[in-house]
Amino acid sequence: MAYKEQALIRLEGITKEFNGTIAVQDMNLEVQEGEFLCFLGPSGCGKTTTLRMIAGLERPTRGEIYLRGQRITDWPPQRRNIGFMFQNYALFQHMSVYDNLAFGLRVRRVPPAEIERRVRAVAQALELETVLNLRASRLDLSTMQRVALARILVIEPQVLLLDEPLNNFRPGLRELMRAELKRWQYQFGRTMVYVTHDQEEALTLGDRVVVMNAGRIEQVGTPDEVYWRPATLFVASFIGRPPMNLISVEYRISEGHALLSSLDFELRVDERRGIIEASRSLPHLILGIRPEQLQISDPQAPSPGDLVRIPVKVDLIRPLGRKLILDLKTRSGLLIQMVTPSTRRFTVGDDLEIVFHPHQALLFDPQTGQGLY
Amino acid sequence: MASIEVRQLHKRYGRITALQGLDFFAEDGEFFCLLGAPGAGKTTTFRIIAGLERPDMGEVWIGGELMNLIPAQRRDVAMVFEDVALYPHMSAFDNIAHPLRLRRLPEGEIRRRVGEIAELLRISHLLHRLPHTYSGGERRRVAIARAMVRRPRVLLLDQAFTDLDAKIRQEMAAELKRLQRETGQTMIYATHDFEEAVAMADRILVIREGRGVQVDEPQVLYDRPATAFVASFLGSPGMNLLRCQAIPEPEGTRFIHADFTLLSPVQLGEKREVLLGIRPEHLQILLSRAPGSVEAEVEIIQPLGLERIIDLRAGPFVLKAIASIDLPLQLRQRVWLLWPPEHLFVFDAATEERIYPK
Repeated sequence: MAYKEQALIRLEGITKEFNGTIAVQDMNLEVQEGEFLCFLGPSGCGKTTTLRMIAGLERPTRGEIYLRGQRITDWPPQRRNIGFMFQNYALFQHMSVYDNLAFGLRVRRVPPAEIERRVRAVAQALELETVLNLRASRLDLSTMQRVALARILVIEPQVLLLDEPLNNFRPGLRELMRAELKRWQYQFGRTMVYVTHDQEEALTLGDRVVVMNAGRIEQVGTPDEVYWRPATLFVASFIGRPPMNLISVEYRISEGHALLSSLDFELRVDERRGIIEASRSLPHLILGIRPEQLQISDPQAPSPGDLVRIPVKVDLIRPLGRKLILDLKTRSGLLIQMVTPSTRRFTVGDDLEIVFHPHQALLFDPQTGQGLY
Repeated sequence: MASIEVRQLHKRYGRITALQGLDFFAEDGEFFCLLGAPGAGKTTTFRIIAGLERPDMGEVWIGGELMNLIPAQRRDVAMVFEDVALYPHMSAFDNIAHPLRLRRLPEGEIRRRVGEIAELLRISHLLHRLPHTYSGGERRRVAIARAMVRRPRVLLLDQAFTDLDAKIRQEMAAELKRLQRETGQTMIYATHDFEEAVAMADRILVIREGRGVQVDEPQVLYDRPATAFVASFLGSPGMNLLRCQAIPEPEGTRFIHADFTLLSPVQLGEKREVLLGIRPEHLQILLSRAPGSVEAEVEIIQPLGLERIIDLRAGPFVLKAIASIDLPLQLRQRVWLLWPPEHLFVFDAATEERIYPK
């Protein structure tokens, strides 16, 4: 995607307080035209509040919001020309589903034949054809959610703000809708700002992901960046299933080499010496390694000598079908999880040696939580 | 500890059939799982085993003894539910000691047993605190301690961890499995989440509509599913299932639906309506056409560490495939799918039973 010089939406130093509690703190963020931006974080992290401020439903306590360079902080929602769907679906209860969908188009004076065409098309995509004549008050929760989403999509706004729009969808439809939303973005160049607590959804849909925690942005990056180069310990432990292994290590210099040692293993990090020594919490660091990066060493085929080796015992086996998750205990009692193909059989109590490349290890400062890159 | 068996359990509530001929046998010291969608009959089964409910028909055997006429309090079965009910005004110690005090055990014995089980469950630090100060995982541990402290012959756990968040649920599963290994306690765990079941179970019984569908070790259920339901229920994502006509041809079988067509060298006999199945990890994505491949379009790409789950549209179907992150793929890209015949499954469309491989 080609980024335009001017951001579509810009948040500058946004803070939002509710009765003295800080929901969002000093947020700076740019949304580019045509991108799919996903806010991801645990409940209460401030992602919905941020979306509501962009929509104009909440006024920031401090900071400014710009739309195409124009300051819109004080504009009411209807003036912003942004389509949004929140978790309270706010349908017109006394109207039929059809009229709920047509309402926004009638207000915009779209010709009746065009209204008919667009309502039918969106109703078909969201499996609403059979309920078009029902009153909104008679719908179940999942159907209400689909009507609420359809009502936004039918207007075809340039910018869509969506707050967990698929969380009540039945499994099959949920996946079809993900594909559909993605298609809307790339076929019609729509900008999507999307809030979810589901990391799979965020990593699948987002061109960029904003990971939030406790009212602050932890990282903004592509799905690959937040997964493989997490900026903070929070991102490292929040994203990934099973989660990244995080192990306490100590830094020291021995015979001219920079070493990290834990109770169970040691590795050389000469080439990262400069980065590490800038860290303030030395000698203590946290080492991160993804469960799928660990391998079982094969005594028949000796692996290169620079690998980090950890003797472990199998503590729990989760046969997930094509993969196994192994819970492994090191000699010092540390728990390490690894993911491995299910072609090999394991038994609880098996002794194994697991290995990884020193350059695969991520390092974090335990005091600041920042990644050391 | 004891084995447990149910034979031909039937139960109706008015017009709703909860169980229609459920059978299973869990061995002494086994960790057995009932896996099924909500409403499949798991909770009803537990209530009948515990003696809280009478079956319309069928038998419950514990340790080789017929239980049907034995009242609940004499069956020696303990149960842990999803909504853990601890006494809010009692400390963990008193909550756990409660069933022992009801049996008028001497106070010294009670203290010893509560201390022992608390240590096993790593909740010694909670013994003098009230329930409102516990985390979700700690509440579950206290509830399990209370259920196990009187050393029941069978422990039934009904979705005991389902409402906990993913990380704690994983920890609790590991903990319970360890506890079960160490104590040899016969446990039956009911859940609708296959990942939870495979983490703990020695064997899993898949239940659907009040009947057992298949009982096996987790990996066997995955590798040799007896029905299309089991195939789609186990796995993340589950098996791709495509409703097709299977038409015999000299070189094998042709699977057809609308503009989808696949010729595979498997032999099925006469023409019939089938569900063609393939696991996402066995569907191969090619970047150029090859003999026997099916054309498809990339609809969605879900990153998953070193792999990605790719949604592919092939004619009327959306299929899922697992691909390495090294394979360069983009949305809307045209690709070709290969279906290795050694990984094909075929189920009868009407009965959903596996017909290939035999």
